[in-house]
Amino acid sequence: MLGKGEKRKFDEHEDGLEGKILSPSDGPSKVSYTLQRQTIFNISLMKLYNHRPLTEPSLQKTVLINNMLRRIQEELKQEGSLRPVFASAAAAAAAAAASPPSGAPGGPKPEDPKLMDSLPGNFEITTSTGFLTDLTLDDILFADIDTSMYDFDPCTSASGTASKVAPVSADDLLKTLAPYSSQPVAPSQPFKMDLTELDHIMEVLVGS
Amino acid sequence: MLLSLPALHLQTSEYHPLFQLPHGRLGPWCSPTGSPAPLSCETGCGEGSWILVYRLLVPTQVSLLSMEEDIDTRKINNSFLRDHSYATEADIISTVEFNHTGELLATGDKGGRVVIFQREQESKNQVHRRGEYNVYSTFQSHEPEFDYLKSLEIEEKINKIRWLPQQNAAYFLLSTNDKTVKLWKVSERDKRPEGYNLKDEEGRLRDPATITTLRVPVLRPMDLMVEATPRRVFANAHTYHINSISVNSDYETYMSADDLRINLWNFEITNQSFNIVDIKPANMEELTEVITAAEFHPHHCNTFVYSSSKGTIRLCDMRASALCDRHTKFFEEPEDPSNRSFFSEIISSISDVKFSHSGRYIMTRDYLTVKVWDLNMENRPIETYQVHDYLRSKLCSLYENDCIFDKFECVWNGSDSVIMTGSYNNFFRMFDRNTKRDVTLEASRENSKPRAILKPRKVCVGGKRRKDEISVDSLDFSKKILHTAWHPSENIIAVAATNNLYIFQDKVN
Repeated sequence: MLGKGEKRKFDEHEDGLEGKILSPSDGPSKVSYTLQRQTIFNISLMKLYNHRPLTEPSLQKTVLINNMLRRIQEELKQEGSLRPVFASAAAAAAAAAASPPSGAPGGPKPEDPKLMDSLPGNFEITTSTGFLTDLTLDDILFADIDTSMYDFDPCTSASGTASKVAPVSADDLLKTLAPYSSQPVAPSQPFKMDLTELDHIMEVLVGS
Repeated sequence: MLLSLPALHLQTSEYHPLFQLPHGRLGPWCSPTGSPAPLSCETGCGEGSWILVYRLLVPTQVSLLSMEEDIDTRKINNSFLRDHSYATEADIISTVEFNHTGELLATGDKGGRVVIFQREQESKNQVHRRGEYNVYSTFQSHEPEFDYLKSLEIEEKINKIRWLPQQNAAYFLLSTNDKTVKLWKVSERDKRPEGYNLKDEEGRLRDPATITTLRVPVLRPMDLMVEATPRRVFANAHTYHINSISVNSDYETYMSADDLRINLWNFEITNQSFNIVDIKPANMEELTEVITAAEFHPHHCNTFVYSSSKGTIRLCDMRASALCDRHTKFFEEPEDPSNRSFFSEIISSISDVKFSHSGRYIMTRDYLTVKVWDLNMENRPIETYQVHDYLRSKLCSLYENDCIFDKFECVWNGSDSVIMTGSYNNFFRMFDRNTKRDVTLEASRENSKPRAILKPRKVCVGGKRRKDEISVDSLDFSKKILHTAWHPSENIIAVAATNNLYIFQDKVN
């Protein structure tokens, strides 16, 4: 999969963050890599749910974005970054680890039928209930979501590690996000708060 | 829908001599001067008398303008040139295709219209003048529709046009939007019957009581009129969006491909088609790959290829089975581990696949490269050309603004020695397969001076930017050249830049 232990080379063109693959195992670049992955994950989610086209969205685009999300989810799973917030979630995680084939495609399950066949606008109803039923991947999805980006006050959380990482990419998007990022390993929040925050975020995104 | 339009025969100014490059097989590409007629395509500038941005007005209105004084026409046209507010989204060209002789050039746009240009006959008096392309016919091919089941609009945008080889005096082409393929007949009428018994000259029925004599209608010449009529409509066969159509070499069948299925049609039968490829999984959640393009082999009517969003090409033989789900050949290049990134899969998605005229090779276009494959070697391409590798470090931004999903097409020249594809900033690239030289050119009015040859362009990747070079960050990503076409036997190319159509020719001695 992604990441093979290559060291990121310093490079004049400043394409380090995007051009070469970063290994999650390197120390200081691990956060950059995680940050990049997080960014791409967020962008992908926004792409899938953020627009209401009058015409059917392109299936090719949807499939490619979906594959991107799945890959990131797989990677997160393999890194073992599951952070169960409920005891039951932990049990579910163990169960999912034991049966990986069903877990992986099941992740986007609430999303897929919606993506492929139904209207893009039904998001609020289907996915919030859908996510409730699959707690394991909920943790992956929501725990890692950087919701501070959507807050209107600048995030001043303990982003010490992130702020120490000098932005290495010429990519403006990442530079914009760097000061706003929270740590990928943020302390776990109550699951309930995540849900209401998510609802709020989705309302903002969907523009309702 | 019938739209009769008198063929416009336009004046052209004299052809101008060009410089010759000291070496290299790729001659200088220039924009010949042309006529001031509004609907012709812009071919760079000549003396400020040029057209434009075409399709700013409905054809009939513009043709009226052109009948009046030339000077006024030029002024009007030039002002349209500058006034970008006239350009609408419906005018964005979505496909360009020469017919098999190169005499006709068809364009389709986002508004569902098709405009056909015809090459002027070369005059024997002016030997140096090459035929110019003038508007021949314009018609509305597709209209927007509404899918009531899904509450979604079906776009009228023309995705592809494919010509049929000419078999009689009329021309036939296939045009398709996302859901429906139509066969259009374009024919000329230069005679009309006169002297009907039951109708008068205006077509009104005569009072039978006034008819006292009998006569035979005779055909009398009239102003040339070009008519386009829909002869067949092939509908309701695609659940997903049609991305390709391809006419078979038997000239009796053709195929249409959408994201998950490919159907084989007979031209005469519109109410059924054969499904020859179906990659839809039983469980849509398991869908990870879609069909992106498909084409028939130019000579073997049983063979076709289709490409996928995972960067693979499958060659299928229809003789093997009715449903060609099992490929005969599978072309895939192993991934380069040093170039792996989050976006590897997306940039490997093939946006276009084209057989060479010889039928020995296929060319594929993915986001950053063009690859030529030998049909006999499946494990890797024989040639890879970098179109705009400097974008590799910008993939995250390009993902965010959706440019990474842009579908660039690629074309062969008539002899399969040069390949061409588009890029951003209205740049397009040509690669000579024999000399391995490549050139970047720009299709832009601002940079085309009268009587000038197109200057090769260069993108500066880093470090000091030389004069005339453009830096990667200054590229305009909204100006993309997705559609180009190459004349089947001559060095004439058509380049679609948003709502402008450019035709370039190479120099002749």
